[in-house]
Amino acid sequence: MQDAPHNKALRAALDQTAAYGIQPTRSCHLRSPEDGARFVQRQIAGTLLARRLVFHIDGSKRLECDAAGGRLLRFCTYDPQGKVVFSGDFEDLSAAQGADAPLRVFSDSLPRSFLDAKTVSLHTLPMHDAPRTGGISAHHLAKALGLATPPVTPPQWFRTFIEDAKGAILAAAYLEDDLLYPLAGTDQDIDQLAENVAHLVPDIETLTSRATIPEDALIVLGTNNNATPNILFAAHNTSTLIALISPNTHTALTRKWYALRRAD
Amino acid sequence: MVVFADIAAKTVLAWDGALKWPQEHLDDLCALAAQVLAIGVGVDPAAEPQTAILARATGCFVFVRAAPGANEALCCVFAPYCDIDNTFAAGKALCSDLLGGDQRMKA
Repeated sequence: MQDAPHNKALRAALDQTAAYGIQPTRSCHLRSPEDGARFVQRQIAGTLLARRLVFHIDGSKRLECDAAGGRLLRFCTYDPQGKVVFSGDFEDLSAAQGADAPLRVFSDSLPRSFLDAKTVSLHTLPMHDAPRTGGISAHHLAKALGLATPPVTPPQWFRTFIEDAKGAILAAAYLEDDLLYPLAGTDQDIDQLAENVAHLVPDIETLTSRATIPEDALIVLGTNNNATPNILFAAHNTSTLIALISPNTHTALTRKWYALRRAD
Repeated sequence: MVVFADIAAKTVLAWDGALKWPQEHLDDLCALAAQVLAIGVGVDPAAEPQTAILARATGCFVFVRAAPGANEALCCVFAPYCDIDNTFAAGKALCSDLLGGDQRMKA
């Protein structure tokens, strides 16, 4: 099945598209080194085609990971001045040392890279000649990093809702566990969103509790303070959509939400 | 349905609506208002929610705190697709009337 000509053609087309297509930069606000490690693990787990993932911590390149098929193939860490600190590869797991030594280096060095870090962003580059075997699985990586949570992509209707309600939504992100992943808005908008959420709810994990934001419900909170935008929450399975919204858009937003949920 | 409630004591103070709801449904609505308006309370007083909307398949719930820091709130239940933006202004005006001494519901 894997060697069928149409599969080869499909793979080539996907590689070509992804290699030359535009990959938006993804970023994440951090509250602890563990947040950073989880972000890295999730990006590797979500990388199916061969890619070089370049992680910038607080604006400077600190980590490069070659990944394919949701597996980590190689890594290289940098100090803030851009000098290589550690590197390792997991391509040949039959070697005497196997994966244990480089994995230990990776899992020890990663939290140190994220010490006192505020943001991490991901830049994705194409990678050619990726090995088809070897590599550390995302699951194995999560265990080595002390993380057990599998990666989850946001429900498609979050994006559709944002697209439909473009004028009303100033910034949007989705919350998975305790990490915010931007969906719409500039970095500055997302910063403001993260700040507003932190002001509103110091323990962000409560927002993923369905006792706070019920499943299949939309909540919009408003203050009397004109400087604070209204904030919107919508829940779907383990994901929570959070958005800053313009004033006097409640009617439009709830109607769009009802229309979308009815069609879903 | 419009209910004026003390959400701290979870007590219904007054209500009006097209249908007569059983007391336990009014109490549930009061508890729901307390739960939704409690998101963010006690962290930053300036960020404390004064209004909240909870849209669900069964209807659209609108909660308006009577005044900043007040325990009283107006809890309204509307059909989906209602005009919420206008509801807020009407709700705030109604709260002013109620807290100003006119205890008779005008909604």
